[in-house]
Amino acid sequence: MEYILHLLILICIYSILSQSLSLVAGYSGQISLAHAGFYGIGAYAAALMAVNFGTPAILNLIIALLISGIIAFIVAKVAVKTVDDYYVVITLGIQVVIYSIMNNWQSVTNGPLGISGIPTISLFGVPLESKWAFLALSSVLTALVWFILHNITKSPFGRLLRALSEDEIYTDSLGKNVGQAKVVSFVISGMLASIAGVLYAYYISYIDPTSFTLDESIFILSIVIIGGMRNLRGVFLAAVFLVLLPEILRFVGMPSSIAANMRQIIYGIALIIVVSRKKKKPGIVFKNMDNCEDNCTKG
Amino acid sequence: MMQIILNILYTTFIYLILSKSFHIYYVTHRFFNIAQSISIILGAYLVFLFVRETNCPFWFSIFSSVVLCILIMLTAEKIVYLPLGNRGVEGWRMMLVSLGINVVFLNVIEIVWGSGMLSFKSWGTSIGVNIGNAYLSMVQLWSLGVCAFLSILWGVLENNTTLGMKIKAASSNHDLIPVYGLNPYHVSLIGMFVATLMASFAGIMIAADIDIIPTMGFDWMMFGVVAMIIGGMGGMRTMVLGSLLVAASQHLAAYYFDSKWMNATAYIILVIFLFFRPFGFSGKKLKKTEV
Repeated sequence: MEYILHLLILICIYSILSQSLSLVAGYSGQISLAHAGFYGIGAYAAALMAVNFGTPAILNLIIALLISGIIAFIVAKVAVKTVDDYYVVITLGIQVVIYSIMNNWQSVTNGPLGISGIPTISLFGVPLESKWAFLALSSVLTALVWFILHNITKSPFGRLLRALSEDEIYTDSLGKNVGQAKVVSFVISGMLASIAGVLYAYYISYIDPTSFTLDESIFILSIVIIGGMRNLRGVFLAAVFLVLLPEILRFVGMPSSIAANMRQIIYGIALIIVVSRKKKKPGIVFKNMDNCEDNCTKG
Repeated sequence: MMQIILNILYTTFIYLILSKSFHIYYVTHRFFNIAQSISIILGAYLVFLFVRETNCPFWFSIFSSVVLCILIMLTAEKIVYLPLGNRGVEGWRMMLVSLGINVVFLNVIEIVWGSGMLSFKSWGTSIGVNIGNAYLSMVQLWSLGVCAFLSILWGVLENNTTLGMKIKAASSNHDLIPVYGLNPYHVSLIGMFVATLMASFAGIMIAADIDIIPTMGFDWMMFGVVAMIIGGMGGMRTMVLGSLLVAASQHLAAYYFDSKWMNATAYIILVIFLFFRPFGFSGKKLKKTEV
């Protein structure tokens, strides 16, 4: 039972990460490979505050949101000057820089050794020691992020994002501030990703840079692409599928020595197949929902 | 300081070949092929296979590895990229497909050869050649020679053959390829062939100097990409400048701070360039700018 709860918590964390990335990659059409960086910023901010100053979790969450928001704003201001594959390259570069800082700034982050001894999360003085309690908190935060993103994507701002992802020049010619919309969506996405980071840090109680690598960004992007880039429900279900995939491989009887590589190979093949499909906005697993959601949000 | 200058020179030449390789693929296909990092490591791993596991002669192993690497990439080209290109799939989607191919190949390589460091070197460590109280190893000297040869060869082919000039002209406007009477399919194959040849040679040279690990291909390829972007998609001269700037900033960062900041330095330079000078040294405009 404990293991099932563990998987459910991971699903919540990856759901937050992938849905928040979907705002940038799906709705505003900017494929970012820096998402694991913001996930890491949230985790490190919360861990450093909790371990060094013993501050309450709510305050740490707010600080994590603020720090990731500020960094996302700076990054977006730079990245917004590029489009398409250049945008991917620059976000990839930013991911490497964030990872290098986590890995090399030893006096603050403790480098590759990471930060251990992160205390149990407490809400209003009540420690959430059991996995059930942590799952409840994770579920609430996942639902909250989903609710926020659902409202953003249904709002005029969401329609602006969709418009700019379809035709940036045309949207600009309508007098819409395309650059600002891109920056705002990137900042919101980065801040929401940091929530997942805070949850992860408190849940595992130990963090190190290897959890926030480029591979993690690629994994999160794979979830978004497989789920359907503008489909929050599809992205959630893809997160469930991809988090549970290693367990499926275990049932198949895959040797543990190659299980991790086989998992990556399956992600890679899924990415190739889904992106190669003819639809402009890819999504394979939950195709019908993708159509429904797109239709539902028109007008 | 002389040693740093020599290190910068060596790294500049490697980056130049990698950035040229990436550039040739880009102008003939119009997308960033991330799977080119596989050409870099596959060449090196195949040399390891021939030299260490089948005891083939070294030079024969290099030749066979490069040929095999080209054939494998040709297969990926024919099965995946060309059909997608014919369908007019956008560049960013092609790039994501190449990312998927990169992930698949990288993990297959890890399953076959493991994720640890391997070496195909059969020669011992030597001091190398003394240049002004600094040293350049024989492998590095050979690498410099090969890089210079490949750069000059491509420059001659590009500027002195009809096909080369047509490809060069078409690279500034992809729609001109059929106008010049060129077959887009053949242009893609030639681009893939030359790019894979250069990348696999570069990978073998790097591996001969510092050995092989699966993840090194991606790192080196990205440094080449950064050099290419900073160079500004112009000719060989701006690409040399881009490669020199990346190599110099990395080695100086390692000298004044710590070698662990070398990777980050390259990307910080990239970010600074894209912010203040998005078209790089050449100033040549592409479609990649903000509205």
